[in-house]
Amino acid sequence: MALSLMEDAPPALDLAAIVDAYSTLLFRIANSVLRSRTEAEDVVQDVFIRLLEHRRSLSAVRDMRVWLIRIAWNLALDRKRRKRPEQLDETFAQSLASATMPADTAMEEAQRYQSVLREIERLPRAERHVLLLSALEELGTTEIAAVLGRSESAVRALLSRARARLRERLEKEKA
Amino acid sequence: MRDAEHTIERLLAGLRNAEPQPGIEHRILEAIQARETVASVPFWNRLRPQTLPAFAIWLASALAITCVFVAIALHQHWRVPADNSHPPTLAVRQVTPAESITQKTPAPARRPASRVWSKHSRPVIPAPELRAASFPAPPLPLTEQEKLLLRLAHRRNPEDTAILNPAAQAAQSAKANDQFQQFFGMNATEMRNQIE
Repeated sequence: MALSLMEDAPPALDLAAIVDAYSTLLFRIANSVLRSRTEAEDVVQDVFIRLLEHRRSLSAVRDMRVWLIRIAWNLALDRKRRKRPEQLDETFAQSLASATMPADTAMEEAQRYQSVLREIERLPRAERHVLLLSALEELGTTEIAAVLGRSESAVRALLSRARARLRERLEKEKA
Repeated sequence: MRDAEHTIERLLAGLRNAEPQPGIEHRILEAIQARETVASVPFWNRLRPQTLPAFAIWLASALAITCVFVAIALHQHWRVPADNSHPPTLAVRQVTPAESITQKTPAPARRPASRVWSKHSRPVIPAPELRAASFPAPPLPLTEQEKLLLRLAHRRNPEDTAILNPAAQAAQSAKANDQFQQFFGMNATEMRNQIE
């Protein structure tokens, strides 16, 4: 889809192609934080608006993919501060359980998902961020490190600690 | 342990496999295009009568006119006349000399520094003075006549006080004339005849 607004943009920026290539990835990144499709789509839209606002300075961007992911990540975090995550998590857990389980066990499964999401939110911030980004298979350790501004070894260590801490807390809660 | 791990994996897989609503690319491009179109229109063109309700235009016009009138009124109110180069005098009550004489305890002198003159030469009177019933004038200095009267009243000399009373003065003059006649035993007419 060709856009007439691209006429005054630099010729290297093909917005339609960029939207096609990255919208799903950016949606998943925003959704991992917000757990809401509507909110995540709004974030993706905001990312591309930022892209247009900075189109004159895009030549300074070394890695467009990481740059877009970082914008989506930060916008999602910013939006989440203004929302009540409990409500979003409840809806997300119910929809996830009903999509994968029969109706008689879906409610119990939804409660388990909710407790996992609650414990994820209680994790230290760095561990939580690494855990959520590593859930997306499109992102490797190198990209996660670039988005979060940490070294790859630090990302691996944080991920290991996050999973261990989460597992331990869930077991304690169950016991 | 395995159950918790399994639940975590399923949840993360749910986040990983989340799919946006179909047509997200189309919606995003349309939203961006609409935003760019609005941003490219100048601000004043967006305020055309077609885009604004009529009552909003009238309301804005009325507000603007009101603001202009208020500004003019305030300007007239605060403007200083051109010939008013001196500080304005405050209206004071005239004090009679008798009041000034009998006044034992003069009113405290008002400090000139208590009044601040603004750049428009309007006196800024402190709040306590504004709340006062009036502005009593400071005691005026006595004139020369008043000082003379004060001296006469305090000396109580009969001849001096008679000056103030014509009847008493005439009586005193007649008495002095009688004493003169008795002393010399003749009247003034006979003395003149003898001299001629």
